[in-house]
Amino acid sequence: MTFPTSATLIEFLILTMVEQEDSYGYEISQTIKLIANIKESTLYPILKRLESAHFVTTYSQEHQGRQRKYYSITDLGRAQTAFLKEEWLRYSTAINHIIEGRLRHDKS
Amino acid sequence: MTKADYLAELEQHLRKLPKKDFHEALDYFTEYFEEAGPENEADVIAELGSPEEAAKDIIQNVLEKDDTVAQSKPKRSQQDWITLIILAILASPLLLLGAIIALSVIISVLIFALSLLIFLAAMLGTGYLFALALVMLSFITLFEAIFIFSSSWQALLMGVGSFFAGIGVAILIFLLLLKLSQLYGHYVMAIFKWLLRKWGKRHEK
Repeated sequence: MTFPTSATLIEFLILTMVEQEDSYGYEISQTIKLIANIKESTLYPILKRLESAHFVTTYSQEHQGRQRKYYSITDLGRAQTAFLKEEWLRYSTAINHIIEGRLRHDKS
Repeated sequence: MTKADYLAELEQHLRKLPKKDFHEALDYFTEYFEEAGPENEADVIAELGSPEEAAKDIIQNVLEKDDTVAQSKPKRSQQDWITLIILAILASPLLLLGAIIALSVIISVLIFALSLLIFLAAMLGTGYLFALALVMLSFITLFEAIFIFSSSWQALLMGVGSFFAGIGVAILIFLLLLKLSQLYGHYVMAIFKWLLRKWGKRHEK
């Protein structure tokens, strides 16, 4: 967890997860916590934000005798994910190229 | 601290939230504890921090988003405004066309009136020039009569007669033109005064 993870990146990761399959809060947060040192009290509002923006919707489903809140992706969310994927590709490629020495600022 | 204690305290601090947000947040963290399982209870509490702190973080971030949700409402009236503006722009070609037509009619009337005035003035001017030419012609005839036809007294007589006739006609024309010019000027002044009055009324309004 050397590198801080921005809220935008976390939103992006959540969206990709939910796009692949519907997911519930605990599963999402545990996955995110693999790469980010984030507090639940910060993560929960990010989930709420995605819901407010209509990128995801929620529904309740029973599991082992208790209610679980599941998050599923919307069409708007899919569009946002596609956009963010492009942005991420550009960003991560640039970072990797700088690391490999293939990319430098053009001094001319 | 146990899970039940923690959640109870969290609930107390979360009461600041609007009702819906309050229930949703509380449900989320209750579920979180349950998913983690009783064996991880202590870890969860450690990770969450004090109920007060956790509640503060949650409230801060949730209420910020409430602002953005609330902002989507002005967006709707923003959308209404945008629709209105688009409609006005779409309608404006017709309005614009009407305005252009009206304006061109007004301009052509003005140009016609102006050219009429200029024409009349030009006619008057031509008239004066004609009278002047006549005067000059008369003098030339007189000089011709005196210096060229001096041998014949009939020619001289005719020349002198032509001179006076020419001068007389020129004077008559000149007087006529003066009168016409007077009328012309009078009417032009009247029109100007009328226009000024109309302009003045508009500005008063």
